Amino acid sequence: MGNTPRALGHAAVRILLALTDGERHGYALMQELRGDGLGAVLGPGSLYRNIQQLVADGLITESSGASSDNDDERRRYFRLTAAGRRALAAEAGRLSDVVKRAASKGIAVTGRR
Amino acid sequence: MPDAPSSARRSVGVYRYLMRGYPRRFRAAYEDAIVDAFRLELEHTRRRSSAASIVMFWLFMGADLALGVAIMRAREGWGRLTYGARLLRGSTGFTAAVAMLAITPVWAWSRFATLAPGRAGSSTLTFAVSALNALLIWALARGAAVLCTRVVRRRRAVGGLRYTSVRRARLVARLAKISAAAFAVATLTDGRRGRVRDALVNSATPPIYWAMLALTLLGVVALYFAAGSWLHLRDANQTDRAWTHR
Repeated sequence: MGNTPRALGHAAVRILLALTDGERHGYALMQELRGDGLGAVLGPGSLYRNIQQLVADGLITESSGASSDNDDERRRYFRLTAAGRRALAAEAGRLSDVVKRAASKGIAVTGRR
Repeated sequence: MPDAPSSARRSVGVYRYLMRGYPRRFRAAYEDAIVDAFRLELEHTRRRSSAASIVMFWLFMGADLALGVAIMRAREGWGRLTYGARLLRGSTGFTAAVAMLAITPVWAWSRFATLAPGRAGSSTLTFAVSALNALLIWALARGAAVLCTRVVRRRRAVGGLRYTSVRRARLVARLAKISAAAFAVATLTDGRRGRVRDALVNSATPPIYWAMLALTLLGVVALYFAAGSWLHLRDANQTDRAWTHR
């Protein structure tokens, strides 16, 4: 992985954000993204496509998962890595700069909800 | 009317079948997890007991799957193409072949323009062009064979090499060598016998000869790409371990 941080896609940012609270399995992530109000619902295919990329980039990693009797063994758990946390902070910084820039140009920043 | 569990099983079966559109390695890594998420989402939708919600569910899942397959296939195709191009660029045989490819037609046509009016020395010209073409094809095919070996070695270094991949690589290498040798012998023989002389000297037919030569070259270049992409960039990719079947 290179040193230059690559801009993250919107879905990737949402997934990283969802994982800041702790490890999640795919369906739990889907549920969390459904309720985050940050964009469209991701289907399982889109979700795992993004997960695959994030794993390859080293931003998230697969974990053993919180083992409980209810857990399906097919379920895959993921957690944020230190690199993922840094990438998320950098992306949040970038977005914050965009907001400041918009505000400096007189654009009224409105919430979506 | 089928009961709910069997209907759900059928839905999951249909979705799993449709997932075949995804690249194989992606499926190997995530198929069960994706199907699991699909199943849970289906259960969630079914609890609403509305036909409209089921229809919407399938529309959403269908669109998600179609989009995902299209994106992943396009990425994979592009990755293979660029990987093949990188390998080609780094191959000495290919560079030499491209140089010859650029020089040969210019040289041949300049000679043809000089010699054709009197047909003097056309056999020599034909033989020389054939020999160069044969050498060119041989260099390309030899490069393809070397490429196969290199890819296999790299796969071995990364690990997770499947025996079928080795067999395929060997097969491609053998085919490349055999076809190159056959082409070289046939071209040189024909050149010696002057069979292609009419095609080369008769002004009505040269385009066909050159078109066939171009097609042959394209075929060998395609072999390069096939060798590179068949065993694929993932072999050399650091992410290979992430794809390991669990």
